[in-house]
Amino acid sequence: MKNTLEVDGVTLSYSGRMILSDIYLKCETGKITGLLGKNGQGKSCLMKMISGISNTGSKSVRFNGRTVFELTGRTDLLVYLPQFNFIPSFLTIERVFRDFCLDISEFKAFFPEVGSNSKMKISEFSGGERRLIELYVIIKSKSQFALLDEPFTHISPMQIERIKKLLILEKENKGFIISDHMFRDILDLSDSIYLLNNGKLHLTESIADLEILGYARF
Amino acid sequence: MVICHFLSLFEVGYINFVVLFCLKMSLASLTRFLRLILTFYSTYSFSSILLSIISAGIFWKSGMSFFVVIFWFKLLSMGFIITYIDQYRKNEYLYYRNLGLSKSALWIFSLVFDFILFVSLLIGVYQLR
Repeated sequence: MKNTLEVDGVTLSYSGRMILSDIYLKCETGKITGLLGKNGQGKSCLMKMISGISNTGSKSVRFNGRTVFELTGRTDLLVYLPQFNFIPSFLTIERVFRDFCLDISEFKAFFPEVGSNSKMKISEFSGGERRLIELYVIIKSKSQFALLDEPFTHISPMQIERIKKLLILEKENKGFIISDHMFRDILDLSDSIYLLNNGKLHLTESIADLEILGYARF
Repeated sequence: MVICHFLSLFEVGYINFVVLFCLKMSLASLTRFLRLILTFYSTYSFSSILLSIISAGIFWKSGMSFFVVIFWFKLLSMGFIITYIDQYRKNEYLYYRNLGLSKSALWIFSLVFDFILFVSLLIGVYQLR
């Protein structure tokens, strides 16, 4: 089934400064939506607002055309990967996979170097490995949509390639909104790219648009 | 005695509430829910149970006359624990949120569970005295 996530009317200001102004964003099952923007443009704020973690500002979030006011407890609709580590460090990988009702053998097949230590606690892994585990469980979680905020941070290039393959496989089941400063990876992956610039969200048509809007040089 | 009776009634009420809540869930999701609450509780259980034992010790020595002091001691120390967790482990709330549990649900269920332990300990001490 094809699901749609639409976000509009997102407005956010801090002490008189307009961070986000009348934002519209759309994501569908089978699509990866890339969200780019310079530092401090409000990408993470936008993700927090969509996921319902931040209730500042105003917004309208619709799933399949129906407005959802409260997303707490609606992991069937949306899950969110924050920039920071969020899995309690005293849990083992096995335990995390059990909580998310995921098959650990698939993880072991994809990332044998991390998955083979499934009885180890999260705190015993390196920052990159920890990020990889978090990213994997969010990508594979049984949800219609996933928001990934800087998913590739701390992850090695080889593993990023495998994550990209995993995202392409998993997008058959869900829609992704991804924000990261590694824009070449985002450009590779995404079906549509939005650029956040001066509080406005621009749907870019080509790489040239990113240059025109002053985000990157190619 | 009246206080013990009231507290027992409170416990029964809470247990009824939990039973009704649990009846609405499937067994698998109920097990998962309880496991997550206990996992969250484990982040502060050591200090909290220690405080309950200290309170019970004071209650054993001083009796009913100190009950109000002990009650407020427990309540205030829980306030400190909540503030500490909220400050230093706030990132972990997202783990539970991504599993369907809100911050308020985590605190309500784990604190009430902790309070029941505390009250049970005091009732036990009262009957032993």
